[in-house]
Amino acid sequence: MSASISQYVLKVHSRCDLACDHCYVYEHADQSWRVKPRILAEAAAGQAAARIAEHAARHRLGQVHIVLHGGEPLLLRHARLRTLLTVLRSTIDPVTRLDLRIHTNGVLLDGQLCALFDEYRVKVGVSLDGDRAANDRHRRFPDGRSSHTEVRQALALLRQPEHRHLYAGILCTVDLANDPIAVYEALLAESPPQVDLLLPHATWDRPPDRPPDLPAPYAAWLGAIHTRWVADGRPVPIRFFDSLVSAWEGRPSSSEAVGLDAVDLLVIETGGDWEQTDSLKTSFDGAAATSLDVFSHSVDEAAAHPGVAARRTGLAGLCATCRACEVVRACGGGLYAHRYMSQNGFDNPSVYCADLKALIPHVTARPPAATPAGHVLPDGTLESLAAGPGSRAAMMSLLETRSSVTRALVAAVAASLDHSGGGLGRAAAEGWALLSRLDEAQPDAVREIFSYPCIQAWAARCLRPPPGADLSLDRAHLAGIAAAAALWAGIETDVRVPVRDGVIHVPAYGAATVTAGADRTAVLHLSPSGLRCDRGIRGWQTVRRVSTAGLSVTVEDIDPFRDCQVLPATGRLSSESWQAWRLGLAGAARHLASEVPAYADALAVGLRSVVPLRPDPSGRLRSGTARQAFGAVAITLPADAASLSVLLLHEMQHVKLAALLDLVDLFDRASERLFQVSWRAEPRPIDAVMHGIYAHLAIAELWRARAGRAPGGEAARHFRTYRAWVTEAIDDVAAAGVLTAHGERFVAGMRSTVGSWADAG
Amino acid sequence: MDCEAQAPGGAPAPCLIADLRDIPLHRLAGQAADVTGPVAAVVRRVLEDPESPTSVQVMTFNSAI
Repeated sequence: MSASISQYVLKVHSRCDLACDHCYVYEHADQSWRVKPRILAEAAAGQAAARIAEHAARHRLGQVHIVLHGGEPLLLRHARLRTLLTVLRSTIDPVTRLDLRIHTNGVLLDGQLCALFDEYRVKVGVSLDGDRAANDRHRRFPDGRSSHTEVRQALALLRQPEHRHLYAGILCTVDLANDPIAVYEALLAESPPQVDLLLPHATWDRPPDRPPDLPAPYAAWLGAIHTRWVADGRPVPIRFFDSLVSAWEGRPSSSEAVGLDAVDLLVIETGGDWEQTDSLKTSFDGAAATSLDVFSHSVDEAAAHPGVAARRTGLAGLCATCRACEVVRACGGGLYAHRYMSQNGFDNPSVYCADLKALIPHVTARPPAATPAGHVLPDGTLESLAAGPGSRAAMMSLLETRSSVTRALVAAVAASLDHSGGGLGRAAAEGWALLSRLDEAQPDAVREIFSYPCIQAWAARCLRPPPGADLSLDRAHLAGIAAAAALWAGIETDVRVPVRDGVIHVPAYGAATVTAGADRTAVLHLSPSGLRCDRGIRGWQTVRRVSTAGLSVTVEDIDPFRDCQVLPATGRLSSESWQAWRLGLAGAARHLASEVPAYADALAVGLRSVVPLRPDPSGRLRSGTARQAFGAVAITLPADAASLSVLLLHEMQHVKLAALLDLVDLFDRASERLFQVSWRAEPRPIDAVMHGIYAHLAIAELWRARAGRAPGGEAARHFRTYRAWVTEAIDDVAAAGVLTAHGERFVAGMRSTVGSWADAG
Repeated sequence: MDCEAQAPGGAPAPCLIADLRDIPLHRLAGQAADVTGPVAAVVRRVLEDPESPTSVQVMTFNSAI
């Protein structure tokens, strides 16, 4: 399958109401705008949407991003924009999540357009080059008038509470003639959620303005802002700086300006032509063209265009000078267009090479105190886990790190709240405020509630919502979490919580049917004696627990975020089913405590919840574990407790290893090597093999114990089978050259356990 | 088996997750937008999907924000 593309720039109007003299669309080498249709025709828009949706479905993309661009996209005006947005949403939303944005000069933005963008969930980015003097240096109307007042009015509109969630940020083009600190302060004064600083487009044929006596003036200019920005505590993300650091530290740069990320972007022009990235227009006339269009060519075909494919080759695609450079992983050779020279095309360093080389050490040097210390697994923890069960101390170490994970996930959800008002928005905001207060006043309460696996599953769903998710409703569950912490703390307070399908949910406590208000919320009155609702509560259902033989778990059959294991969860268990689960789990715990006590100890520490799964129609036993729900296993109830103990043990190994893999790299995560394993017909990647070995190691131990009590029977046969599988797979993995140093220790630990087993039966 | 007794006492293992237990939640939320910060690093680490390299949630297009 060809490379996927998740980002699209849709040119909706090819003219502009400003006449900025630094604009690459009109003022640089490419003059193709002169022959392009003024506006994006409806047929081209519909076909573009269909192509993007088709591509997203084919590549199973979880999200696509579209930026409406120009020229000036607001020249399309309200009615045509509505038609376009309707087409995009109706075509792409059913297939994947669509992140819609528009980038504008802001001059035409008004309340009516903001309402339209609110309706269609379109974020708005605005160009502003700084204070009035800086902005007016280039960004003027055709008659020479300043655009500064109009742009600031647009930004003021976006700052209003009802529009704030639409505000994407500000794009600023650097000009050495401007005072960098004045520019920085002017941008910050507009309270943007994000800023980007762009080097003015230039090539080796058309180099940027630079004083002859300064070797790296753009580095000095940007460095001055960076120094001030760091001193201010980084009050707003600045993409150019963040991208350099991210790339330097080996993560995606998330910007085409720097880094070695493969290109993931196509442009659709107003006539429906597929084009390469827009900035190429600065290099030569026709540089961005592909001769392909949405009517005749799919996204896959456009992505396979040599010009696009050439920018998926990473370091190998750079010139020799860049490949040998010590900062190349940060700059990635700079913006592709900035490398152009008519003599030899793009096989050059950036025309800003000297500036990037000077700036990168400045930007990537971080004060050590800025980063909190990382968790450390104490001496012997890795070996203890590798041996199979993991000691209580090792399990406690995993729990401590999961506490940090859950706090980060919940904080990230809170940071993503758009404060858009409405009942659900209010519930989320008030819930977050309560949770933050409890975190400081009653930290044990928050720690206890955060230990429930469904909290992590909820946060993961909010941060990576599946197609069709009701994000406002999901985020408002913050209030339910706050209510749970308040109940645990025993404080008296009111909490507005979301009503989901007629039910309010308080994790770890229960759920009840209520009549929702028009705003889809209800207010809970919490007190040490319990919980009341302003709308009355019917049919309170308590979260069920099993506490036996050292095991204490919730049986999650009502939490709305429990169903995250791919296999479908049951609804609320009937009394008979609940009784069967209760007896089954108690019996399984007794089996494990008797047969593999070290594993039973680890299970007692780490297992927090069991999610009952719907029975497989074929009668097969099913079980699963979700990486984002540490401490939960999902299982169909077998007919006997001995079988349930096998499933519990198997899934708990996945829980432990998944948590460990979040903490340390045991193998090369980029390895594409596949392994033939005895327990599956198809070849498996390294992470699946490691999970298989670790789960089967425990199951072998269980059958070994059972074989010791009934020699010569089925148990001994099972033991020999699992031992053979594990032994063979350990040998394969150890010899494959894909393990890290930690991975070698871990595999050696598993091998040591296998080596300690005498034959059974 | 007694795992604690059998563990050979290997070296401590530094983790890729920052210790955020003692940082107030509201401060963590304030840091979440910093893509170079510890909150974003944890989110990336635990929610990354190795089968979905396109899961980066930020537009890379240089001429838009």
